[in-house]
Amino acid sequence: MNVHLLYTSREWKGVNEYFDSKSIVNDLGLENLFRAASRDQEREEGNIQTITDADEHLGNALRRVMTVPLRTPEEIYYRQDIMQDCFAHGQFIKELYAGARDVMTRWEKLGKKEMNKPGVREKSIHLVAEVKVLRLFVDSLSDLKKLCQSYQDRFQSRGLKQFCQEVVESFSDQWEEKLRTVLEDITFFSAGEEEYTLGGGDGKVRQAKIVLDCRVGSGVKLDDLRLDVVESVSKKYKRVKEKKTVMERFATTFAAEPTVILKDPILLEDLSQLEGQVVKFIMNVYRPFMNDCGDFFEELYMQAAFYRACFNLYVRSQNTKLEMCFPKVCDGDCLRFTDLMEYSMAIFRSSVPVGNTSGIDHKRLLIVTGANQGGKSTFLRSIGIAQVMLQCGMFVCAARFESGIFPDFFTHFTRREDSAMNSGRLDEELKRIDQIVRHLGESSMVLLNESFATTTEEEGSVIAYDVVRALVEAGVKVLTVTHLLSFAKKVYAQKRPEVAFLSAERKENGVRTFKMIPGEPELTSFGLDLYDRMIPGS
Amino acid sequence: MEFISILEPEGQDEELAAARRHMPDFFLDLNIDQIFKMIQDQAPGYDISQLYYRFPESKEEEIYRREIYRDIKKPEVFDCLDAFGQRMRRMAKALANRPQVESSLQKSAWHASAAYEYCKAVEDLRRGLAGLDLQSRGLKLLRDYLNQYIKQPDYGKLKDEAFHLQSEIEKFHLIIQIENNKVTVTQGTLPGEYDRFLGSEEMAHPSPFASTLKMSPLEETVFSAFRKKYPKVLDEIEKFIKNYPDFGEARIFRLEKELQYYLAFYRFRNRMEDWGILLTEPETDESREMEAEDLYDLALACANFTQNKPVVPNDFVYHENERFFVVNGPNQGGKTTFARSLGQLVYFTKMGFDVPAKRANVHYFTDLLTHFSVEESMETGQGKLMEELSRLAPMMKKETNSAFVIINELFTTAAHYDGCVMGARVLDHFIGAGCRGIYVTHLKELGDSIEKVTSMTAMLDGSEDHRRTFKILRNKAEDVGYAEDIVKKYDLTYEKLSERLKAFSENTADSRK
Repeated sequence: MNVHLLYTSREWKGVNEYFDSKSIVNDLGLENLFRAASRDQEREEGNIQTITDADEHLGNALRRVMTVPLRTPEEIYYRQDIMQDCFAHGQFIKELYAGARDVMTRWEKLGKKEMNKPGVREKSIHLVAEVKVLRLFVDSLSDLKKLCQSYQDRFQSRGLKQFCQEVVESFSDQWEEKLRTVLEDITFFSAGEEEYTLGGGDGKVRQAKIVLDCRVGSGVKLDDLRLDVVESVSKKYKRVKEKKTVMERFATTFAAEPTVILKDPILLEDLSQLEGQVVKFIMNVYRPFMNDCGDFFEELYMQAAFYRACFNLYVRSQNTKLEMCFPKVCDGDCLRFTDLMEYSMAIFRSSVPVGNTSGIDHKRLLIVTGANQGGKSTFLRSIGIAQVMLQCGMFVCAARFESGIFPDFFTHFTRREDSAMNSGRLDEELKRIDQIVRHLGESSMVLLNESFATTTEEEGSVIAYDVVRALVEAGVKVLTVTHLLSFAKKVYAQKRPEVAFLSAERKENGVRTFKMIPGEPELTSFGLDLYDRMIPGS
Repeated sequence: MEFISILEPEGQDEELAAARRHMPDFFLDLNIDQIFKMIQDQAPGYDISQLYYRFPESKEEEIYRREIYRDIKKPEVFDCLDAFGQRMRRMAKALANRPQVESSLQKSAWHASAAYEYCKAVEDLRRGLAGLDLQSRGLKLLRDYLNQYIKQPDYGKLKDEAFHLQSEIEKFHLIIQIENNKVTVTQGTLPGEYDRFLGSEEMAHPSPFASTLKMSPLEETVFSAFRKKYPKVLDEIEKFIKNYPDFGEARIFRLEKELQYYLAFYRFRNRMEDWGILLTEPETDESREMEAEDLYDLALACANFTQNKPVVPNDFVYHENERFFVVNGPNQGGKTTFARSLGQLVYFTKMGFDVPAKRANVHYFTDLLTHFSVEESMETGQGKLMEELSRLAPMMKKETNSAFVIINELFTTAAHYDGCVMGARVLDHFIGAGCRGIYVTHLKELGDSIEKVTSMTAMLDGSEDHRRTFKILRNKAEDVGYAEDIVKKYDLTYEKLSERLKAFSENTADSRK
């Protein structure tokens, strides 16, 4: 049984992360999103309320899915469609996820971790747990099937339609009926163990009735068993069967045959071992099914969590009145957006930040310069976040966003505390550039934020010019925010068609609008303005 | 001629057979120990080391084995012998179970089942061999011997009784009903209705009391209740061990063990073939020159396979009158590997097996002698020289006529001149004793002056950084500076980076194709 909610024809296990996803998460500040996605938020009488405790699994699932890039538009639209269905039917995704979580929790309690340890299966206490797990799977699949049946016709997305169909068909009523019969036949084994009692739980002690055919194997031991009857019967109550059992047909023949009544505890011990073996065999028959179910629920728990997490973000964004849209995929040379916002900060502050609008077509290199505290880094981050969200099939925080797909996506952000001049730091920075170079692929995008600022502006400019030139010539898309004006000026002077320049807007009066406008890099970053503001009257 | 053994046509005196042999010195030098380990892995449950530690006694015996191995390489012959081995292992297992049970019924049951496996093994082997086209003297002798053996009256009686009992046991089915701690048992079969319901007709049920060979109390109770009313079959089982307390023929038991010598190698050979490592049967034509094409170090090929690296093969030929190769060349250039591959060639040829080469013609040698310098030895100067000589002396004293001799880096610590003189003497000695071989050395002059000695060199590719080609060619040793490979540090200058990225964009262009 397949889940296939994240990919058209594969499950989640075994996907490849971005090469340096840790840096991406740090540099783009994605933790805020993971944290926010772990909590439900709903509006109650006009007030926004966070109504649940954090479910860390949601944040983790979001982290894991966001740090693995999709590679084709088809894959991206596949998720987008499913997500739209989930947003339209919030109740469905809530129930789907809650169901999967419930299975996992109960399964953990029944010793999920122990399940595959060698030797554990030999223990009868474990066998009891295994029977319970089978029961849990059957009950859970039954609930899931009901959920799917009631929503199936309302979905638009291929992914959810297929999912529902798969569940309904794989876990047919006939199959369910059969599993329940088997579970009832072996209740003698786990009788008295509460939690799951089928058939109303009459509380009576069940005893096994087993008829088998066997050979006398090598060394005179019972061997080559075949089962003819396995039932649980209570002393007072006998299950009525439509057809006659084998025993009943043979009853007269057996009447005069050798019979032993077991009283000795050693013999009774042996008898229960025999019964255990029968149950173990039956569980072995269903092991492939159980393994399949186990994989299915594990995948479902992960995959549903992603959509559930996105749903939380979606509700939160709506509450904050953030504009959201599903991005479009275009070819790698284009990058267009309207009112693009830095989503992580918006979620963190629950406020609507300044949006930027830009159309950077047919460009391989974007250089952003301009005023300190003018929003350059925020701008670069907003693109980075949107790019990562696009590449995992999520919505973005913008009125419109179009970009290519860059599975080889890198961020190289020099954080303020790093920018002290120090040759050790430069070493480290270049080492990281070297790492990036080693892992570039055919569709690569690199975000450089204040890179090479750990040395003098002169040296830094030379390094930046060399590195950026080589990258761009090799077909890598580079978006960079820089203070290195000699570098920016030099590139600007060449007037190459594949390069775009933006700079942080600063009004005549020194006021920053946090908007990026096309423009020539200027020789000062207007740090003086800032100085004047911070230290007025000096 | 009568059949005795598939390894030794003449048999062997008992003292020699009983002596436990040590691993020959050349096993470690030639890394044959590593190869042998893999061959031994193909014969689980048997210790075949004793068979591999000893060369055939004579040229005759070598041919005797080669013929047998050639037959065994035919799949139908292999399968027939392999099946025999499996049966015999089942017999051994049944015999091993016998002392572990207590009741005389069970003891006799295991004994009967061992007897059945033994007879079945013999019968199947005899019938199998009768229908096969055999070329080797050894297997033909075995076939004739088996035809005689089964006519012995003792064997015939044993076989009839063991087969009869086996079929009785196979037909014997019980039906057991369990309800309310009441167990009823009778003879008969049922259709397995619940298994049909589960869809598990094809799945084997584990025996319920398999944790011990002994009958469990429940089994005992059930069987004794049953036996009271239906004694026939169980009584028959219990009588068997009294009627046939002993069975089996020593020659058959010996055959089983010796067969593993061939079967393990053939399985190993197939495994190598799966890995793309080919072994071929050597020719042994003394009238032609000894030579090989694409000879390689089998141990290295296996080690490299796991790391996905190929091995570099080499060709060689000993022209008439050439007795020794003296090999020079850079460190890590493949000299020792070449020497090892020659040794492996001689070893596997002598054992009658396939060799690691595309094609080879190998002469007969009485023995294989090796002398490798012990690198780990902390000794230097006098001490090391002493150590080397003390290992060399017995080699030179030994009846070394017509042996194959491999010497690797002798006298490294002696003065240059002394080393050359001593080396030349060693070569003289072995050439005088009609030996052939290979001498790996740093001493470039060594190959010069002696008759019947040919110089060879491990080649470099002529590039600036002296890349090794691992090719060993006939060549006069030259003085070449073997500078260390330049350690390349990555750089992020525009030129270096462009170069790196160019390689990368070409790669991606390739991968797009």
